[in-house]
Amino acid sequence: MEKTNRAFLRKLKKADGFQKRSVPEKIIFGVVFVLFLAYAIVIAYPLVYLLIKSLQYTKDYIGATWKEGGMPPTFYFRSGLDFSNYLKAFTEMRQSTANGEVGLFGMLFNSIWYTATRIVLNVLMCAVTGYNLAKYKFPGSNLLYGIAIFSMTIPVIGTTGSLYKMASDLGIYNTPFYVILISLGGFGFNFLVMYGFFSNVSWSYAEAVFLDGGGHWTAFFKVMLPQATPSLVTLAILGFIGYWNDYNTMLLFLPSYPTLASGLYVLDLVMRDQRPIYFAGLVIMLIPVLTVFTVFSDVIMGNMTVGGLKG
Amino acid sequence: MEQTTQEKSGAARKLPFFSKKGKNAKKSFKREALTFNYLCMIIPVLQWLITWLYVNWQTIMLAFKSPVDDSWNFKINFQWLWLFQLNVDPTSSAYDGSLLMAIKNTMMFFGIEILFTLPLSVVIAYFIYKKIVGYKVFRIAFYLPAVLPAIVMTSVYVDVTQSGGVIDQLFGHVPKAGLLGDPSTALGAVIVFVLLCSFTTNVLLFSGGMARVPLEVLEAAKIDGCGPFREIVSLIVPLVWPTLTTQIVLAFTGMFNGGGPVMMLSGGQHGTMTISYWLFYAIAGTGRTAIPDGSAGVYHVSAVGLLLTIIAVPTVLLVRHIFNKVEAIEY
Repeated sequence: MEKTNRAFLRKLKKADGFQKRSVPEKIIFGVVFVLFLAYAIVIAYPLVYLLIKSLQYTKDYIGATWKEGGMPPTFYFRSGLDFSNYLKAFTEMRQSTANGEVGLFGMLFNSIWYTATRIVLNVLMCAVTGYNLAKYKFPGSNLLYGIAIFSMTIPVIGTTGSLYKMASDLGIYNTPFYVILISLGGFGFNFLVMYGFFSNVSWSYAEAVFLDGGGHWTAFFKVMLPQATPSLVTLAILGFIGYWNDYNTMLLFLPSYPTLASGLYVLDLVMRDQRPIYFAGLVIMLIPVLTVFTVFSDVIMGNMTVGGLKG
Repeated sequence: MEQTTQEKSGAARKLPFFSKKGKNAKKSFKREALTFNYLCMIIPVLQWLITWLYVNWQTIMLAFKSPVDDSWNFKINFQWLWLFQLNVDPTSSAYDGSLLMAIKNTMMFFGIEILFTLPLSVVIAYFIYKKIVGYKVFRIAFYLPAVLPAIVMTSVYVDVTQSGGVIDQLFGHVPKAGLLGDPSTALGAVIVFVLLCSFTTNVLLFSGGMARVPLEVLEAAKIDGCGPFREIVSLIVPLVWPTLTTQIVLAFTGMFNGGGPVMMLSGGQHGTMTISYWLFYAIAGTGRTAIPDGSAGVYHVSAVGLLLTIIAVPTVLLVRHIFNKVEAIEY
């Protein structure tokens, strides 16, 4: 104990700036450290809780949660660990939709195509608009830039009704075409990032292509777009987290295509008596997004600056 | 930004052509550029016309149309709002009056964001910037709620706040229906959840803003006799100011969107309704049932949206105008 304390103190002293702090400062930093630690525990707690609950036998979960006959501890494994919850999540979790029942595999599939479609189309479109408006002056280019900024800053509220009606009128309500339509947007936050990126790329790369006899398409796809890879990857990662967790779009516009996010919300009510299986489903949903975050946390954390993102 | 763009596109025009028919080549090159530009822009522009312009235009139109037969009716939706949402005893039924409550709650969440979330984020960012022990871990912890799916966070939160759950075991006094299921505690429980999950990008952006000046400069200033007060006023505030004003303007832009995933926490019941959930609820029900086709909700939502937009647009423009002026003085 003594040893670990000393090692901890050594580490503390090594920490940047610690030694230079005055006594009152040290006290403030100490108090803040304790508060931060408490916050970190509270935020990490759901992950641990979820994992433990997903391995409980249903009868233990019920015993542990409700007050019937005393209050047993939360982490309660009288009957041991039940790994079959994860198998059952795939076999027993089913949501009925207008197009028949969708199981966890189906939801996983929907999550994958939904996330992929939205990321690929939207990031590509924003790269195209960002490049064209940053690098070319053509009749209407100023107007388009103005439109992009204007539609981002004007807060229009309550468009869900009109979106719903539009989707119904076009016959794309509850079809994947709706996802394609909303993904093809070339303006918005991603546009600003790509516009900023291409503004800072030298035009001489494209000139070199033109001198070699290449056209504008070659310059864009072969030379300029590959240079934007870091920005594209950052946007794709942020997009992945956002779209993987998105439940509103599916609930409102594609009820027959439940993703993990929207399907589990619906199953939350249905599976009141099978919480451990439901929690196993949540863990399955969590794995991809947590993996992406762990692998790319430096990219996400490092790229946030005053204006949002940098390339 | 604009100028560099022009310079660069100017460079395109001055491209040297070595052929004898230089002029013609230049013309055809320009034509090719135009074809490239318009072909590239056609899809995003069409998409914008449909999903932004048409949809927003329709929102205004639908507000003045009858939910019964889609015919023009300038009063019907607003009458409905007045009678069943704004001018009734909110306790009369589950749905009646919930918009009034939603407006009240949403404004409160907006106040919390301006008064608590943003200032607290600056303070947190300050300690992370000053490299408090374990700052790398804390930075991830503060960002984590933005990564974890809402359904995961809310499911655990509902579980631990129910009667007999972890909170009950630790502190007791949890009502039988759970903290989120009882009218006396539900709103408080939602507020705690929203606050816990609200720092995320704010902290990253503020500490990113501070990081523009290396920590060593602060240390040097301290050696030169710069006290903590002067450090905050002369160094930290100017560093954070552009980010802070941007975040405040963004908060105003989303002033009617606040409240977090109320749908998953309390289903908008027990006094926790928010505007964004009301707008969702009016169309999709609880989201757990199929959408009723041709629902009156489409018209009601548009009418509410129109009223709120009329308030939001000038407010946002005014706030932007004010902060643009203040920023000009600071920088």
